Amino acid sequence: MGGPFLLAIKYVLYHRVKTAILVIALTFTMFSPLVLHVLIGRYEVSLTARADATPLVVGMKGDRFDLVLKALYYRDLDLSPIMIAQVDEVRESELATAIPLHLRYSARGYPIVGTTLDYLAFRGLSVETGRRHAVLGQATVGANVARELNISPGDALFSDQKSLYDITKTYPLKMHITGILSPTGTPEDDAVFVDVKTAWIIDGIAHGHVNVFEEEDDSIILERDDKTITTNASIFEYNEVTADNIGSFHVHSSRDQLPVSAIVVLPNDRKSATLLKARYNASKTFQMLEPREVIDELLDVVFRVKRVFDAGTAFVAVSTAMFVVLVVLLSFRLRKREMETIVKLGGRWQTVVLLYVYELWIVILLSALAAFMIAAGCVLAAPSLTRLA
Amino acid sequence: MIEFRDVEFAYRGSPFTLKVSELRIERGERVAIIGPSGSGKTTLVHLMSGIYVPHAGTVCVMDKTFSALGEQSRRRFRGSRIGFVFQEFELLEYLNVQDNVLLPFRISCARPPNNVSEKLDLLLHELGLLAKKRRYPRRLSQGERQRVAIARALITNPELILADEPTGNLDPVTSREIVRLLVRQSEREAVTMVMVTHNHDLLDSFDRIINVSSFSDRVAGGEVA
Repeated sequence: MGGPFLLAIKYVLYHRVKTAILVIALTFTMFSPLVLHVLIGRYEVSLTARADATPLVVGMKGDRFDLVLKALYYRDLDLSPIMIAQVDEVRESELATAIPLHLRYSARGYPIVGTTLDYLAFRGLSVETGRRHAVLGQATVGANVARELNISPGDALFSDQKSLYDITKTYPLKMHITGILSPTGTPEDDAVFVDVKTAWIIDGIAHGHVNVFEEEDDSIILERDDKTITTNASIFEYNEVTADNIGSFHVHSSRDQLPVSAIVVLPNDRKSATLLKARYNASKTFQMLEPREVIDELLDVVFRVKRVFDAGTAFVAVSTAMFVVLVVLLSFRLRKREMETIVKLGGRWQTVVLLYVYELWIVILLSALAAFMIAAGCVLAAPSLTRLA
Repeated sequence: MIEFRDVEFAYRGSPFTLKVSELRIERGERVAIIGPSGSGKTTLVHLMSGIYVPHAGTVCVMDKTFSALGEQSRRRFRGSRIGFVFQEFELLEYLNVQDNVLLPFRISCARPPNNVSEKLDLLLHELGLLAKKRRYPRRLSQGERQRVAIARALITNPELILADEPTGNLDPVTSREIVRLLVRQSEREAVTMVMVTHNHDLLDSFDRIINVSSFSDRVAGGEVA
C-alpha cells in the first residue's frame, strides 16, 4: 500500500465532513437491505424451527394463519374455542398424543397458557428456579416474565381482568408462582403456564365458593330444596386457590363442553398423521393444520414482498453508485492540478489512480462497516424483531 | 549539466514552436529565464525536467539524454534528482507542512535518508517553518506556503532546482526573500538553479539570465546579462 494509501487516509481525515456525508449515504444504501436480509433470515429460521417442532394443530375452522400463529406464538388470545372433547377424541384414536391449549387470558400483559404438563415436556422446557406448577391456582412463568415483573417462586401474580366494566365477569385469579422456566429464546419466555383447569377458573367456568349448605345467612339463599340450593350473586367466590378452599372448586357443566383454544397433536408416525388429517379434512367444524405448510405459505408472501423491496433497493443502489461515480468524476476535475503536481514531482499516474482507489475503498469500507454494525446492533438490540411473541 | 541541442517542441494543435538550437547551463550555476508571456519559459523548464520530450534535437541533463529514456526512467530521474518549485506552490491542502515537504518520498522513487526527520527539522528551521510543521497550508501566508514548496524541492537533495515563477503570486518583499532563500540553499548545497521569472528586480541574484524571446532570433540562447 505505502505512500498512496497514507495519502488517501490523510485526505479522508482532512475532509471529514465530505467523507462522512459519502459514508452516511452509502451506509444507508447498504444498511437497509443488509438488516432486512438478516432479519428475514432469522425470522425464517425462527418461524420454520417452531413450525417444524409442532407437527399438527387442531382448532375451529377459519383462518389458517390465525390458528397456527396464535397457537404457536400465543398471540391475541381470541381464537374461537373448541371443546375439550376433541382432545379426548384424538387421544381415543390412539394415533397421537393430544395436548390442549387454553389461550384466552393474560397476566400483566403476558399470555396465560392453560395446558397440561405434557406441553412443557413437549417443548423441552425445564425449570430453572423452583418447581413446575402441580395443583390448581399455581403457575410456572417464562424467564422474561420473571425478569420483567421481578417475580420469583412464592410470589403471586393476578390474571388480567378482561373487561373492567363488566361486573358479571369473574374476578382476576391470584396465581401462586411455583417455578421459573429456563430461558429458551422462544415465546415460552414470555408466557405464564397453568394447568388447563386453572385456566377454566380464570374463565369463570370453574369456580369455588363458600359451602352454601353450611351458609347461615339466609339473605343470600333464593331457593332451597333437598338437593339444590339457589343463591343470589352476593355469594362469596374465591379468587385464590388455597389448601383450605381447593376442594370447593368445581364446574357445573359437562367436562366435554369445557373450552380450549387449540390442540397440539403429536402423531405417532407419518401414517397416523395422514389418517388424522384425512379425518379432519372431512370436518366442517374443525381444521387440522400442519404448521410448516402454513408457515411456508406465509414466508412465500414475505419473500414476495422482499423481492419487491429488493428491486427498489437495487434501484437505490444503482442511483447511489451513479452518485458516487459523479462525485469521483467531479473530484477528478477539482483535483486535476494536485494530480499533475504529483506527476511533476516524480509520481506515476498509477500512483494517482491508486490514491483515488484507496480513498474510494476507505469510504466503501467505512460504509460497509457502519452498515454491518448498525445492522448487527439492530438485530442484537431488538431480538423481538425476529420473534412473533 | 544541462544541454539543449537543436531542440524543437510544439504543443499539439498549437502554432507555437519552441526552438532552441543550443543552450548550456553549467553545474552550480544560478540562471534566470525571462521572456514575455507565452514565449515558452515554462515549456523550457518542462523540457529540462523531462516532463516534455522534444520532437527534434536532444535535451541532456546531468548526462542523461531524455529522448533516449522512457517515461518511467524520466519520472524516476525527476523524482530523485530534480527539485520543483511552482508559481502556485501546489501544496496538497490535506497534508500539513511536514507531510507536504516529505511528499516526494511518498509518491516517487526518491528514498528518504536515514536521518530524514533531522534533515526535515533542519530545513524547516532554516526556512523559518519549524514551529509550523503541523500546520495545514490554509493556515499559512503566501510566503510561508512558498517556503514549504522550497523545502519540498530541497528535501530529496536534488542536483537541480527548477523554479517556475515562484514569486509570481508574492509581494515584492516576500519575493525577494524567497529568491534569497533559494539562492542561499542552492549555494549551500552547490545545486544548479533555473528560475523562470517576470520580475526584473530579482535578476541581480542570478549568475546568468536567459531571455527566451531571443531563441527565435539567435542561434543558441545563453545570453549573459
